[in-house]
Amino acid sequence: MSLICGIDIGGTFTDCVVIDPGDGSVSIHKTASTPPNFADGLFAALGLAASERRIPVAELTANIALLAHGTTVATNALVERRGARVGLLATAGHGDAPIIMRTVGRVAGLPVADVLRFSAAAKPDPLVPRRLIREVDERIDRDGNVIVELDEEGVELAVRDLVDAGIDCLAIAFLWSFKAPAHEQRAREIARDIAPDLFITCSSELMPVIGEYERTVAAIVNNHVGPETADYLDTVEKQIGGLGGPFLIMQCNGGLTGLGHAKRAPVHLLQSGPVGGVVGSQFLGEAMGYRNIIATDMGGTTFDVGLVVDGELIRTSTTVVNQYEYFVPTVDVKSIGAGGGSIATYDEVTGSLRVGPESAGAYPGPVCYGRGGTRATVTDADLVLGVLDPTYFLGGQLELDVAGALEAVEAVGAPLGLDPYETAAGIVAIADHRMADLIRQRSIERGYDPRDFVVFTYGGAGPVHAAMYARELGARQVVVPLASAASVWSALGVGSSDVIHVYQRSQIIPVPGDPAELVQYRSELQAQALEDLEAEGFAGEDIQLDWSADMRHRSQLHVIEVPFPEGDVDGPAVEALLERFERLYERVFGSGTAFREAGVEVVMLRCTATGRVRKPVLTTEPAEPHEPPAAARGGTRDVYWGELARHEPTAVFFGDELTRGSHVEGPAVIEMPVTTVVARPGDSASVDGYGSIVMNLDTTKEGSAS
Amino acid sequence: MTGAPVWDGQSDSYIPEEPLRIDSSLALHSDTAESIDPVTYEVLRHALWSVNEEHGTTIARVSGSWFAHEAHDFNAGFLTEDAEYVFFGPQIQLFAGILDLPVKWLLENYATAPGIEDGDMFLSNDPYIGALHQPDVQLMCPVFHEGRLFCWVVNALHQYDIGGTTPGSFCANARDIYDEPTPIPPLKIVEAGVLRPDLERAYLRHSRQPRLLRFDLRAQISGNTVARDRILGLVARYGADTMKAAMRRTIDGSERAFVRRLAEIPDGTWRHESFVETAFTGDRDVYKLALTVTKDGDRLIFENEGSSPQAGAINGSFASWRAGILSVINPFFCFDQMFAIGGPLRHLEFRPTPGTINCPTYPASVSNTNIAALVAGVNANVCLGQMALTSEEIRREVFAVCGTGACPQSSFSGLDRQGNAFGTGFLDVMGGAIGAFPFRDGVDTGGSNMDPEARIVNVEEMEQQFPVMYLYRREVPDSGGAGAQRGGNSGVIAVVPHGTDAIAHTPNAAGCAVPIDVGLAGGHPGMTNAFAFQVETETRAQFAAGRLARSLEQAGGEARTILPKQTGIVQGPDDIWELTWSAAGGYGDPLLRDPGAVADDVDAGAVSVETAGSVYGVLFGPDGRTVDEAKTHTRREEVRRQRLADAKYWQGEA
Repeated sequence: MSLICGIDIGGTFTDCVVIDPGDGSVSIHKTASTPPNFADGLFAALGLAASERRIPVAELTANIALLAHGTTVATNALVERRGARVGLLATAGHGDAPIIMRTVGRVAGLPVADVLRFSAAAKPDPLVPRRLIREVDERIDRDGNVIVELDEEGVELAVRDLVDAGIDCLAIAFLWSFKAPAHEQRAREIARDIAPDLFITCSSELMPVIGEYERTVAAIVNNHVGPETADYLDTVEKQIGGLGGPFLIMQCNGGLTGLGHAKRAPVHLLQSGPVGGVVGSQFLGEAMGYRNIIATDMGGTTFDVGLVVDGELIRTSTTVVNQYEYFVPTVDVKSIGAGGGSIATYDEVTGSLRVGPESAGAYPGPVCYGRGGTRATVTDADLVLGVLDPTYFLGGQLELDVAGALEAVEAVGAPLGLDPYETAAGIVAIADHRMADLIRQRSIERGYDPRDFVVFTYGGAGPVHAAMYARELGARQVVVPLASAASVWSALGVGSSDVIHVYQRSQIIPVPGDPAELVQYRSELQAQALEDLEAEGFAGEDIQLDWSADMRHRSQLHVIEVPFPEGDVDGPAVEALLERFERLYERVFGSGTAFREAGVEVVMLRCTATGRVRKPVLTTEPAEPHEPPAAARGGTRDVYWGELARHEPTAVFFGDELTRGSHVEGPAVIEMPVTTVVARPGDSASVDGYGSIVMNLDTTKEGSAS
Repeated sequence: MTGAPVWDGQSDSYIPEEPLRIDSSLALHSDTAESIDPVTYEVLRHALWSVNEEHGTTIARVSGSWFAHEAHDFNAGFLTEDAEYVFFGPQIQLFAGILDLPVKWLLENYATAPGIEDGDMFLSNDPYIGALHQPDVQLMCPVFHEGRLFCWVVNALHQYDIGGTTPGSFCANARDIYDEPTPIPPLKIVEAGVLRPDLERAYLRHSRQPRLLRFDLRAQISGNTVARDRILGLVARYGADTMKAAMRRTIDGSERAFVRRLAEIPDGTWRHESFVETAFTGDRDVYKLALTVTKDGDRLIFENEGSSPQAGAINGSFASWRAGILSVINPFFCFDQMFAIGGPLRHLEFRPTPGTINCPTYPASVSNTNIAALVAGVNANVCLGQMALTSEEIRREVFAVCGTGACPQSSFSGLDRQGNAFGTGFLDVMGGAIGAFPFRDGVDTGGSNMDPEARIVNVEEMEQQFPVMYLYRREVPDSGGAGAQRGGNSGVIAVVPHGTDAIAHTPNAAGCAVPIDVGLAGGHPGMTNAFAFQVETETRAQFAAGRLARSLEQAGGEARTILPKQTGIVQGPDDIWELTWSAAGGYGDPLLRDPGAVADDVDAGAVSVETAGSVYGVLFGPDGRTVDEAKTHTRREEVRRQRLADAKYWQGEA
């Protein structure tokens, strides 16, 4: 056996998939996460996988040819502010950059309701308090010239001082260091001599990108989560013993990396969980022949959206955690607080029905969980409508309180003269439309029409709601990937990832201009990429380099990512690059908006270097449409459908018993241990050859086409 | 000037009288579905907000300018067919006051000729009709459905330069509007979907940087187009009458919230006066901007009676006075209504005195209107803040004046070593500071209510684009107004030329002489704005010797006084330009501040040990960090006794 194992540790659950390429079987396991000792959850998951195979854990691990692991350890350390004590060395006069937070730190990443309510927003506590920030004399200018030499004595004094103050880590972030890293490097040498065990991050090495705030924060965050991440990975590595293959860690760039790099640059590990699901969608989409995918994950507290366009992941270069914005190449996943826990209220002032942004969170959660929640949530509405089975939630682990949910929902709608069922349908419609608005903005902003996309949906609440938000977008199909596996979809995504490193450095080069500069720039990045991948054991066909350039009109700040030629960079190639830039620019901003006379420049070249690893092979079977087998039939129950404005006897199916090719007409409810797939009236659902549930939406119904 | 003012935008500013007089040949879509179910309403409310967000995002992205992308100096909104606000965006809030006025003017004046038709867009920057000042160019797009005017999508975007005597178009030396950018009353620059090349050319001729203007015009057109198409998509889907019902209900909802909140507040009159210095280049006088707010049942009446007569470049248009007021109504009263200002506007009455500094008569100059506009906001912040503090429901939302009370403009320009022209402003000042709340501190360099999403640009980006080098950019300890709750601290920048031999500076400010950003309920004001110009410094020799000056004192040289509206300042290679922006007001008596919070501030470097003792009356033990309770108590009693000793009876105005 040479198994592929993907494990994703989230804040609440630890998910595990084990894929046997021999027979294409996929086994899934779910267990509670165990913060702060996350390794316990990981081994519990491996234990479940081993016991299902009736073998000892050691035998299982020996059979694992690839262990791919996404972990929330780093995110958790940052969000819970449990991270290391970090010191910062900065250029004289600029040590306040991470405190000023470009001012926007007061509201960065907050929902608009908080942006418009001044009493609700403030800057978070500083990641590095001012007493642990030291300014040293040194100055580089925009061209990389040394204007003021590094004050080495000053560095020494500052580091001694900080070490005495008890720092665990040191971030070194000087102005323009990405142009001339010598000062940062020298400062690190000095610091190493003083404190050899200090975890040190130089901003120029981690993120050689223009913008001192985001670069400095990246270095600080890397430190903040560094020691805890390293400890965790060491623990797992030691405890896991003999693995039959490599142990790789998931990054937010959508790819894996080795343990050494993960420990040195843990900033890449933050928020890799939501990314795993998008990568999994890309992977399955490729097998199914879908090039354009809107990947949606709806859980208890958040709704995450990522895009796959023309088979490629859409990335961005900054992210926000706890209102801190920093540079990191990341798959672009947008998150809003709109999960099953979103609270519905009657707004007395305006006499209207509102859903969110307040959330009941994981605790106490919806009223129906019976853990003390008293305010109606989206999940309560789902239960009232009858789409959720109170006795089969989480496979029956939690009996839901229908009466409680009904009472709470009724209270919201009564002042509006709505009965509880109308209210519940309204709550769900409002939540689903909000999600559709978010998705539409994400795609249209980037110049894509959501009608050209297939919607993938996973997470506990996604398959319940997807038919409505997807139709609202004008999409025609919804895929619940590999049915049951949708509940551990990030883990599957992690297990299907390649090793990916993104190399980029800010450098402003006017185009058209002398191509030589571009050529040299590219060959520098290329050498670095190849060196790293070869050191990790990749060679030949297993290495793939993809090139892109961030370009903009001179004097504009907004950049467009443009594919960059792999071959010769000569006059015609540069002209073609310019044309590509203009075409993409106009797709986003409208025809006639590009304006070459203003001057165009490359501001960053980017190499996305992929080292191919063993991929799970998904097996497909012929799936001739047929009626579901008898074992899959769970009778009928009354479900209230908002679009019909009445209850309707609705067929219920057991998802685990549906055979490939099983076809059902909506309205129907397909129950699975951790989620429920809802096919609305007029829609249909069938299990495809891979075992995914594919819903075809009735597009004759109203759906916003704009 | 003789006789009663005529508020038609000719001599006196345009102040619409409701209902508008719109020629009946213009067909308006005023049908509204009688009822809209609560679910459809909520779905549409969110969709409409999201359309408007898309409008704003489009402008920021297409525009080339730093003003749009980094300083958010723009806004986008949509209005009903008769120009009531539905939504506008979270960008610069002063623009809230100006998106509706020019549309109302258009409806009253151009309905027949040149006509308002499908596919048209109108450009305007006339401060007497409804711009804050000439650089804020507005683009208004009527949206038609089945031949009737359904609604309007509108935006306004600050242009770096649109002409006038000084680069940047803040013309501090203007004698009247003829020295300033020529105002453009509404002009049909897009006709039946086509951008008219003749009018565009004429428009671009106004600017020293026509390229930026060209990008921005496209940004404004794209924004309107995106919003119009999306709204029409929703109309097709939900029906025009239902959409209109959703729009009106949004306005009605925020009206109801506003009226209900007013009902909690006793009737009365609140007044605040701010004093600003230097009306134009060379002037050394001080001027009064006054605001009286009368709350009478469900109405608020605003008057500026007692303000100084119009005085020169410091004048602000009527539109900017109204805008300053609206940008406080929103956070205090509409914080949960997505700032749907249309509702409150039904209950606001503006009664300006013509010929005053904040409601001048044509052809008074107005290009520096930002000061008058912001100070109108300050006055409104104090009056409405005190008013709102009487209400248990909304007092939590009240904050003292933020650190942009008289946000200083500091434009600079010149030629770099390659001979290319450069010019922009130090937008670092948008870093502001948030005023203190009754229940918590303000936010250091946290922006202001004038721009809820304020974002200042990185030093590296500034240095990349312009030939300057920043010696420092940092927060200023002790700058925030002291109080039981502390006002946010502000920041300071200092730059030297780098890559050019000379930089011309044009400051444009007030609030350097007298603090503008006052506190509430006994809180102290924040620090003033301050310009400093240190010439013939040792900076370059210090660089060579491996040192960076952290202050002007360390840099050596000689200090030159800078007046807030001085022109002709040239910075040479050894000179330092330093700009400190004003900080936010505090809330409550500083002697009531929790000593532990003062100790935390000292530890965080936000308050000095000296200020802790002198202003907060908090004294520390031998370690310099632990509060000495006994000494603190004694010191605070001492300050109170001193206050009583210094107290004087009110003798009337001096």
